Amino acid sequence: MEFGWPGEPPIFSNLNLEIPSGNITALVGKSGCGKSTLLRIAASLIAPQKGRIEGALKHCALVFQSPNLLPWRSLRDNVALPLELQGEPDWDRVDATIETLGLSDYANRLPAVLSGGMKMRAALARALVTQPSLLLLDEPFAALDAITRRHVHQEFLSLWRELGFTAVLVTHDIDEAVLIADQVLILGSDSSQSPRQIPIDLPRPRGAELRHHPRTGALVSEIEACL
Amino acid sequence: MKRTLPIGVAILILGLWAALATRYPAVLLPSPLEVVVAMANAPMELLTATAITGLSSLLGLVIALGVGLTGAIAFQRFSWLEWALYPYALALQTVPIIIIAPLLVVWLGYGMPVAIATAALLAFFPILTGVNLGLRSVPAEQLELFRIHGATPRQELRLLRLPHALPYLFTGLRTAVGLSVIGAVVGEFVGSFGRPPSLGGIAMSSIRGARTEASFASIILATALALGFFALVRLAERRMIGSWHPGGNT
Repeated sequence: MEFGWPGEPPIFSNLNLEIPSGNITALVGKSGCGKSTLLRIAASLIAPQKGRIEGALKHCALVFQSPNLLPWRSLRDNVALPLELQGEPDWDRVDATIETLGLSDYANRLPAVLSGGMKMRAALARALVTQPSLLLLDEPFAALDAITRRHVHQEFLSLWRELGFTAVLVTHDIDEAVLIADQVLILGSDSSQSPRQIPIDLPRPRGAELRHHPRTGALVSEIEACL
Repeated sequence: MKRTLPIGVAILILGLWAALATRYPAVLLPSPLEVVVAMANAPMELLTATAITGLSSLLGLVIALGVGLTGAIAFQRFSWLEWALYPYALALQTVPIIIIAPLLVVWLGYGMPVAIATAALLAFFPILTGVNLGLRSVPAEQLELFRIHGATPRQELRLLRLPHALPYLFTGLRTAVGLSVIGAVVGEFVGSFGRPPSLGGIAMSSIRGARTEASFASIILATALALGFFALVRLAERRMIGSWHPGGNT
């Protein structure tokens, strides 16, 4: 695949990637290397100049860096939005998804009164309500404080175990990439180079205690050395 | 403090006015009491005039809202339309209304239609520019969210752009309500000839008849009318966006 913004050098030339189904792939790399652009190409928001993407892209959902909730809609109406855009929402499914994310008590609240963690969980619920086969996440946990982030990581992993979607996570946080993903792809600044692939062989399920495992430290160091 | 201060200022102004009025003849500066007496002497005439001016302003505002909203939606949807028409909308706004008003009398005749037209002419521009900005300033990520889930342009307008533009519409409306009353009064000034009775008409005829206190009465009532409209807009703003937009509560 090839892509570059008009009048600028290409961000990717000869990029070839495979995302294994049912796995979590983390995309890491320096700022400006095209991580978010790649995610938007995968979401069909941008078309590549050459090449194509194959697979179950019809059913993909994107979780943004900010929760991106519509402030005039209640949490429940925000979660229902993707279904509403495709026709009449299945409210049972909306309510079940809200319950899975532990937000039932706040379903009728407006985003303004929710905490940062709740907003991010609502954004996850909005993506998962469409039952996507591919979930794209653009640094969704970056704005959360460290404690909330650890909670949301664990919640995300248990959702993934339960629902079995394929996920691509863009992140700046190497620890996060190692603790969550099955493989880490490192995008370099050289557009013609294929991303370096590092399989994460930590056991699952991965609890917060894995953070201190020697293998975690070794993987983080290996990835940092490639950046 | 926030509420008592403006009342204090009002009392101060009234006091200064009353003190100044003792030094000049009533035809130059009537006292507040003379203005109140003028109001009490012709309550029905002034009430009817206020209602007529209010109606002209309101109808002008409704037309301005219709034209402003439709124009902003069309501009957002078709950029070429904005490129073609925006300079003329701006030009129309810069031509002094007092010059347009006599022309409108020639085209529409004497009476309320001129006041409605001048009110609409003055009020539509802040609505057009406010809503136009609101429709265009939707965050890119919210647009991406709609596109990734296959939203149609109509859904994007109804469920995203229009609700996002509501605070901008209210900012435009706050300016527009005052302008609509000014527009109506100017229209009546030039084109009413006393029939039907209106605040602009009374202001004009009382100046001609050296009844300055009646002129003051019509100015005060026109101001009260504009403030009343402003309060109604704020009420609607608080009801419609107060729960999710900080502007709704300021």
